Amino acid sequence: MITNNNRLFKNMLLLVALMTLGACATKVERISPDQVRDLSGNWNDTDSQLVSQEMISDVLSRAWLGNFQQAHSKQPAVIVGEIRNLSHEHINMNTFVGDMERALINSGKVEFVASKQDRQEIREERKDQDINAREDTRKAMGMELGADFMLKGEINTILDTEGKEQVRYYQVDLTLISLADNRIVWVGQKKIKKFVTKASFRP
Amino acid sequence: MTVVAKKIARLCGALLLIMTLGGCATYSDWVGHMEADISSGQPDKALQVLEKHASSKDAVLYLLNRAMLQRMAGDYEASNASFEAAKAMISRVSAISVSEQGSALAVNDMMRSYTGDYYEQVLIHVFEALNYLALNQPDQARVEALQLDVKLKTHGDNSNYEDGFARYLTGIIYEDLGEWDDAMIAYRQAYDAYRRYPQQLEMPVPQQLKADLIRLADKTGLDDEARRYREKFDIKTVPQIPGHDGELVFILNTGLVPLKRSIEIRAITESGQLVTVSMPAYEDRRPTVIAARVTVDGGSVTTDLVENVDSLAMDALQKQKPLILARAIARAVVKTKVSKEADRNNDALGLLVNLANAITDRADTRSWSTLPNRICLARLPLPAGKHRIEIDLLDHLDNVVAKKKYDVDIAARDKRFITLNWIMANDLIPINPLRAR
Repeated sequence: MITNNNRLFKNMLLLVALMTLGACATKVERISPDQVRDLSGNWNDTDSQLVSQEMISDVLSRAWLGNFQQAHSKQPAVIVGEIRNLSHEHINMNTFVGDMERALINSGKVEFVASKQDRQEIREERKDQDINAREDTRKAMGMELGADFMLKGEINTILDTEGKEQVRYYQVDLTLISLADNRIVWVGQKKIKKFVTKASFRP
Repeated sequence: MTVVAKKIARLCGALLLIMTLGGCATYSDWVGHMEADISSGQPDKALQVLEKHASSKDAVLYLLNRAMLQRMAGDYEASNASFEAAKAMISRVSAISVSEQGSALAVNDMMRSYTGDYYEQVLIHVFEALNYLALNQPDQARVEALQLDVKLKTHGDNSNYEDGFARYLTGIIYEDLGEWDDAMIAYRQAYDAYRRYPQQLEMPVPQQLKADLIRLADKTGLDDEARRYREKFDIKTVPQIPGHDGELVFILNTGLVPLKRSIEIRAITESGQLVTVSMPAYEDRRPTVIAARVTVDGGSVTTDLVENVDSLAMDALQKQKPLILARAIARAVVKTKVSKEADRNNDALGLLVNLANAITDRADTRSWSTLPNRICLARLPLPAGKHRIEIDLLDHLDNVVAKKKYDVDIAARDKRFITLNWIMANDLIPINPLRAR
């Protein structure tokens, strides 16, 4: 009987000790950018890289590129237009668009022009040069390279949730549109599906 | 010590306890300072008060309050960052913690991490969407609308009603982006939600929503449905928004939600043990301003009540009371057992443990206290260009309490959102103060 009481007391003491333990010190572990680490199930850098790599290698291997080079005997100029986020998450579109731009430029098969956002700053710089820069180093206005094709797209999601389990389906659709005559010369699609289980317990 | 002496010692201890109320302060005690700063129009000072009381156990609460204060100060980007952090933390902390449950049984309910009531979690998405709309980023607001849809579908709440304003705001966002069909669906869901509210929540279907249902039914070519709504609501003409016009959406956040107080009941058992059972209760308070009249270019419209956060909060607590009481009683049993064991070993230790258990027993008074008491909304179609808006703030007797002026620039086919937070000193005073012991 006495041992039972002692045990209860010891258990309560143990509980108090548990409460006061708190978390251990912070740990930092450097990992390489191409290592896959999925933590919360949300859209992460791996998704962004996967999609952009696959899509860009797809677009650069299609017929439209050859056709344009034959017709105009120069490389096409591409501009990235609006990629809409129609998904459930606040996806950082900048990193995604950045990945695609990098892949496009580094392929060397297309000419790439600055997008709408970047243009404004460049134009202001040119205007400033008109007033302040030396005559022979001034860059003239109205000499921009007009793009031949615009890349537009959207990201959509479908979620299926039951209790702690969730199936997430991402679909990225990109279209390449000819700026001369509105023809759609290429359509690309990439699907990603994830199965996420939430933790039921934690320490 | 004899049994009688023990009992007297306990009684003295209890009296001492009651006189030196100090003990551990509950959440609602220090919130008063923060509220005073908010009502005097100084959200930055309120933020400083909040920073001083940040604790790791109540990280979610800290983040939610910080998000709301940053929103009041007009710093929408920072507010959204706080909201996102709060969402991530809630997701993490929603898993049941074994050690927290243990200490909740041994000490008090505030040992469990705060995850927010269901209605508070819904309002996170609502306010984040409003932030994005104020920043003129409707696509981001749409993301929040989708998250709201997921949240409302998979709710673990055992109430039989859905948040009407969440659906209504979703509809407005879809309309802003030109997605008429989705907007129509959202308005229908909002109408159903408002209709299903129980009487005591005091949230009738807003007149504005009725007009929007008819207008959008006309726009999407659903003539039968439009006719049925016209008959049901007895509305003949509905102001249309001409194609080249924009719209002003005015949102009034008035007052602050009531705070919970801790009510303790103390008793002495026959064996001389001091037992405490504590329950939380709301101290209701009403805002002075309950509506606003928006006047522009000679035409005016009065806001409708779209969200009565006050009654939602009280209803939520009412539903939780049986569970809270069960936990409080279980806690009292555990604590009595512990102090009895301590008593068996050593009298003085037993008395100390008993008193410590009694002092640390306070109800969980945590809630997202920077939420407004009520949310009111008015919509006004306006031609593109600059306009001067005059706002008359009205009390329940339709007297004008204050006036405000805004200059807005409306773009064609675009919606502009203006939010006004109005909290007066009188709004902080409870109607029937409870004697917190």
